[in-house]
Amino acid sequence: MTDSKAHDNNVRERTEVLYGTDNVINNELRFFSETKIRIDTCMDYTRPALAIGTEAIRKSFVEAKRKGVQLRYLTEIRNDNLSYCKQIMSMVDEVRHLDGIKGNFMISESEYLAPITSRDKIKPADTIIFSNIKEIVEHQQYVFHTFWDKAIPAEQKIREIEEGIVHYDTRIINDSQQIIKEIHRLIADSNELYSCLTTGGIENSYNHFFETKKQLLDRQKKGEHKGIKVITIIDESNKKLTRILVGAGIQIKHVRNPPPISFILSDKEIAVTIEKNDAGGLTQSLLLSNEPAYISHFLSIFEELWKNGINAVDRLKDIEAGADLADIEVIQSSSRAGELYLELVKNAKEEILFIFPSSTALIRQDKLGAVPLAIEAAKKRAAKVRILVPYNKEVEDRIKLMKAELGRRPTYDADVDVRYTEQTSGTMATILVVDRKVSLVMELRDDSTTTFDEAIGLSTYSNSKAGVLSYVAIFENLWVLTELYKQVKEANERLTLHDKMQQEFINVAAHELRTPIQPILTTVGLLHSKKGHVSNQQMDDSLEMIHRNAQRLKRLAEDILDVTKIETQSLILNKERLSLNEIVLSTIKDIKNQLQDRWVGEAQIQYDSNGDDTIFVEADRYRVAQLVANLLSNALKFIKRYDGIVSISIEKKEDNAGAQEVALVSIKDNGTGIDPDIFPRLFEKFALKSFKGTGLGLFICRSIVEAHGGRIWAENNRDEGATFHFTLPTLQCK
Amino acid sequence: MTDKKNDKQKILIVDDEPDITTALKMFLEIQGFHVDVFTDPVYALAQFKAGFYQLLILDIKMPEMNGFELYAEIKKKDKTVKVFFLTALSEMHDYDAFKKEVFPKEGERYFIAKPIENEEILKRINTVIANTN
Repeated sequence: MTDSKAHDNNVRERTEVLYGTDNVINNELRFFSETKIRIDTCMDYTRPALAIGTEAIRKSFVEAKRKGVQLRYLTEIRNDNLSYCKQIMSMVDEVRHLDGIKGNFMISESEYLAPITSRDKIKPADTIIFSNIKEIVEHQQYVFHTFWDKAIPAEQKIREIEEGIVHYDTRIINDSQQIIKEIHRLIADSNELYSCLTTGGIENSYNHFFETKKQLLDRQKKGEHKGIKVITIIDESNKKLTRILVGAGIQIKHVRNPPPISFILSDKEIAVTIEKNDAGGLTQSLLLSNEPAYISHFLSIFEELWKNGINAVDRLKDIEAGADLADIEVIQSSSRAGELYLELVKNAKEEILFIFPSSTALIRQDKLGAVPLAIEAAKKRAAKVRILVPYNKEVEDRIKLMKAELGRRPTYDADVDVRYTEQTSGTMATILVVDRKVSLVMELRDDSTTTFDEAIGLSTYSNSKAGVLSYVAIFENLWVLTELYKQVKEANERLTLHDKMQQEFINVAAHELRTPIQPILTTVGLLHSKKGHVSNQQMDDSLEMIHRNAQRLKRLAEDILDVTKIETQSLILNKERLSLNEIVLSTIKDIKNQLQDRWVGEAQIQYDSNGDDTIFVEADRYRVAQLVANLLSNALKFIKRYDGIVSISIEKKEDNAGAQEVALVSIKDNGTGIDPDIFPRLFEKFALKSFKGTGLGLFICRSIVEAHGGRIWAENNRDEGATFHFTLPTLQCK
Repeated sequence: MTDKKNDKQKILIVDDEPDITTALKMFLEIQGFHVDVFTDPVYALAQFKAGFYQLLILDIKMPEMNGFELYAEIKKKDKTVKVFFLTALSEMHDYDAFKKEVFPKEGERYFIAKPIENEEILKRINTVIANTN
């Protein structure tokens, strides 16, 4: 079919399609002979052979050159058409090479000629398109020029081919089929293969390239290939395929954060997948290069990742064990750490543990909001909050405020427990553990600043079970330690107090021992040397004095011994069936004998048995007598008046619980009464207020009473003086 | 009678322990001193005759008023009377400060540690006053 167009020119503008090889050849020959200025030829790699092989064509080239026509020839120079291209080079002005040239055409200054080859590329064309329409010719000239400019000189290509010089080339491929082809080629040509894949990479690799890779693996077995290494994220979604690939012999490692683009490289070439999300959808392009610089760049990226990657086998094990979520992250930014801190505390469900390295740290973090948030969590979700912080007054006040705040909302039962550590708790970081599942350790960089961001340096987040539980162990140990410290401190204080009291006792005891010795010494000395000067009365008085004071020493010695026995729990009671009344009466008699002309004057001792003269107890005779005597002489000591009365009464009673019948003995005096200051310590050792006595008497009384299963107490009388009571369990038998 | 009395050196003893005062009085009177004794320091102060006594022997640890306090009060009335303090020694640390104030230079010279033997106490008394025996 012909198209024609009316023209100013003589020549009729037309485009024709001509069939038959003869037609093709003839037109080509005509074309050559008619051209006056230039011929630009663009042919695929099959044509140079034909151009040289077809004698007529070859001659046309030579003839055109001779005529001075500018001849340019563009083709794909390859190994298999190298010799032909070289011949063409001698025939035309310039030959250039362009990879993958397709389509054949020739353009002169006025005509366009395009032989169309049949499917069988080796045979000559059997159809030809001819056009001399100005627009078409210009257009095709433009096309030729575009190719020509991109092409490289034939000499260079020939040199590359002959000397094996690799032509460095970077190109982008957009066609998805082509992309797959190129990757296959890259894989097949490789002697070593590395790839780094993002999400979905493993599936992709399996679906498209597994077979090709298996061939590499075979070569590897023969020692002809260095192997395939792959880096990717291994997780639930691709664990099965990963297993298959690993089983086949591909080495795979897992990293948490691979780079955002996938790439695959061999020893020769690198292919990088670029994905774009355009308006039209997801498009993929492939950057392909054999530039050594690119290859080494990506190789170094790969090696760095490979170094830190986790072996697929281990990773798969972790996934199966459910430990795949273990994560440790070092956070450089203190503000990010602060955010994470608040988030962790806010989301706590069961337990929040804090260890603060200093009291200012707590105050800082209180300002940050962390501590209040913890308390909120405690309130809302009944989480237990425990805090370990070094003590200072400001912190204590702050905590009091917080607890008061909690107290104001009684509907929420918040559990906040604070223990104070010694100032150097040892940790120079704040340690937070939430729900025993995550930990955040924030290093203290500068304790003197007032804001969290300035104070904190590096932070480490972990949800790795072993790590978090280690911190929990540290916390629990410190927690118990603070309790121990407190106990030790208290024990120390008690010990110091005890030591002080001991010392006081020794002082008083020494005084009490020395006091009766003096009159003995003086009197005996006197009698010894000045016997002649002493009257009979004085002699009697002196002997009496010696006797009295010796007895006093005896009592003191016994008291001290008793106290020692009580203290070391070696007080032995020889219990027997006794009449309490009888003991009381005989004790009264003894005391009266001792008193006689003592300074207490006319103090009386009255006895009241409440009508029951025989109340029986099972008790140690000596000790009960000692008990009663002690109480009586005590009562007498408090009497400083000349009409003092001590009355002692016994009666049977039910004890408070109603469980037992007891004998209640009450000793009442009308003396000065008991000083309210010593009331709480009345029955303690060394409750010394009076300047007489050892201060042991009442202690010994109490020990005796309690050893018998009774109770002892004292009260000031409403009117004057005091009353001491004690109970002893009675014997029911007749 | 009164002359004889006036020749004697007069000692005032105050100790809340009656046996001590009785025994000491007995001994010292045989030695030729005139001895007055009190067991109540407040009462003793009230009865004190300024200029009458040459020597005071005072117990330290007494209720209501201790020996030092008593001495301070007596000193206000009688500047020349000498003094010994009877001490069981165990209470001395309590009175260290008082001791420093009252006797900054001499200190130990005025303290008699009880119990004390008769010869010893005589010797001490003779260092400050002579006895007429």
